[in-house]
Amino acid sequence: MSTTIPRLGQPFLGYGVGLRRPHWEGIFDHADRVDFLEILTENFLLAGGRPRTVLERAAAEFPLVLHGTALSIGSVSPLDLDYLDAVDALIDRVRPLWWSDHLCFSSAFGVEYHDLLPVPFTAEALDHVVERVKQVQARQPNIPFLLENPSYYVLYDANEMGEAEFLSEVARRADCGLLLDVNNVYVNSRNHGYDPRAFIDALPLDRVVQLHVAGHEDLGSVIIDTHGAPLIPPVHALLAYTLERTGPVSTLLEWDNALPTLDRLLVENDAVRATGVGALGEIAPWRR
Amino acid sequence: MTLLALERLMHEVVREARPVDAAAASLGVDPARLSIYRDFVRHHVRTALDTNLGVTRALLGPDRWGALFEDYLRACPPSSWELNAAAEAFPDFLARQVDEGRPGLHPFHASVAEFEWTQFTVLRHPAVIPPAPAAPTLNPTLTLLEQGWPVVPFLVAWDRGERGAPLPEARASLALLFRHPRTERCCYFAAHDDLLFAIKATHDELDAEAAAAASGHALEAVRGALDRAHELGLVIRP
Ligand SMILES: [Fe+2]
Repeated sequence: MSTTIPRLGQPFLGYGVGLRRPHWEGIFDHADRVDFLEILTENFLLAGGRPRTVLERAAAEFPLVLHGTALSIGSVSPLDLDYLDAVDALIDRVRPLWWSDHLCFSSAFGVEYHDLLPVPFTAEALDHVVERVKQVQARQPNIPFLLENPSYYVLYDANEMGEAEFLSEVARRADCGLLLDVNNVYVNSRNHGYDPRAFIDALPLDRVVQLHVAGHEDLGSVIIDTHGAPLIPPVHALLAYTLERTGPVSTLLEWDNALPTLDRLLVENDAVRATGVGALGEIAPWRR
Repeated sequence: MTLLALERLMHEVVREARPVDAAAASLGVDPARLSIYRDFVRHHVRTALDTNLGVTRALLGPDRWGALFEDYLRACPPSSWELNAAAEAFPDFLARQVDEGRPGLHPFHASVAEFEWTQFTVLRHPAVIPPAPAAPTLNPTLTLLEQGWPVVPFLVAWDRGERGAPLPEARASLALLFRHPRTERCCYFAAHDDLLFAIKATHDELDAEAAAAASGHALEAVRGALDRAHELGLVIRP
């Protein structure tokens, strides 16, 4: 299956965290424990004021990647060109290593949901998503685009293939990278009853440029992908399993709700790093 | 099922235009799971309103706020990728509700909502405040807001913790809002003669002497007004 250069030739950035507002002041003192930063694209598109100041410093002091939620790659509505223009301007300003968004639709029929609704895994949706990924990639030929596997709570009757097959085909046909969210794999595997390791084995791992890990909330009948808690041991184990197969891939801790103190976040990132080092050994991350 | 039909169904679920049970049957999914999306989408808009219009919300109280939110959610769906912008249409929506005589609402409420939304736009104003301009310059984020109610003194008292004050009398009011050059917080003041004088002098590129000569004011008073505008962050000096 492997015919591409690992990680599409992108560097290994080490173990990073998402940059969140309560940590804007303190994060810059901890480059020894945070190797790179990921910013939420939409938080910085209107960047006047404080966000702009912080962003410029982040781009100067850390390797930076962008992660969006509003691209709506699976929507039947046309791509939002105003949004894409704003993303282009942001990319041109901070020159991230890459940018990413989710396999989902987050807006349609003129309404923004501010949430990630699952696309059906059908041949029609596959053609549609491939075409749109090609369109967005053509706008930024030098900055790779990665598609992330989201968590989803429903599996449509309409599905004609599995998620892994769908993702693999999008990546191959559109020639894009993948952002593999290990926690989402775990959450989906529990919510829909499948083997998370088999899912990972079925992906074109040479196209995985970045990993996400996060915590979630188990409500018993369903697991909600909250990004609001520490990782649980099975997600650490799945991260190790993944890294043993991908080799060094930039690994990012997402924590978006019930935000912890910076100290707590750093402790969690240390734990992710320890899992990564256990799987890969010590590998020096790329620095600007 | 086509992609269009499926997304239309999901859209109707999250817009609360179709019962979850009916949509779940059509999609072949568990209704409880499907309702997660409806609840999340609603929650995001609620959060945007609660955080950006906190004083308006507190003035209206939970019952009126909750009922207004329900109607707003249906009338004004979010149309921007910027989550905070889900609150943008609320001031006008509230003003229309006031005009239509909805019980328990006061025009002052709509003015407070408009003011709170303006604060957000100032915080995210795209202008870059020059750290060291060649000559005194107006803060480029300066925004003038004309309203029929004195919102600024009310909010100043509110920030001091005076929450039980009666709503003020109607009065034509001009507020100055700008992002502070160092703290990057939104500052606001009721426009008064000294501030307006400093704005005009800076805009016309007059120094203290020239401004005093042009206006006939005492030089000492002109200096005081310009210094004060600088201290507030309204005027940026080299
Ligand atoms: Fe993720």
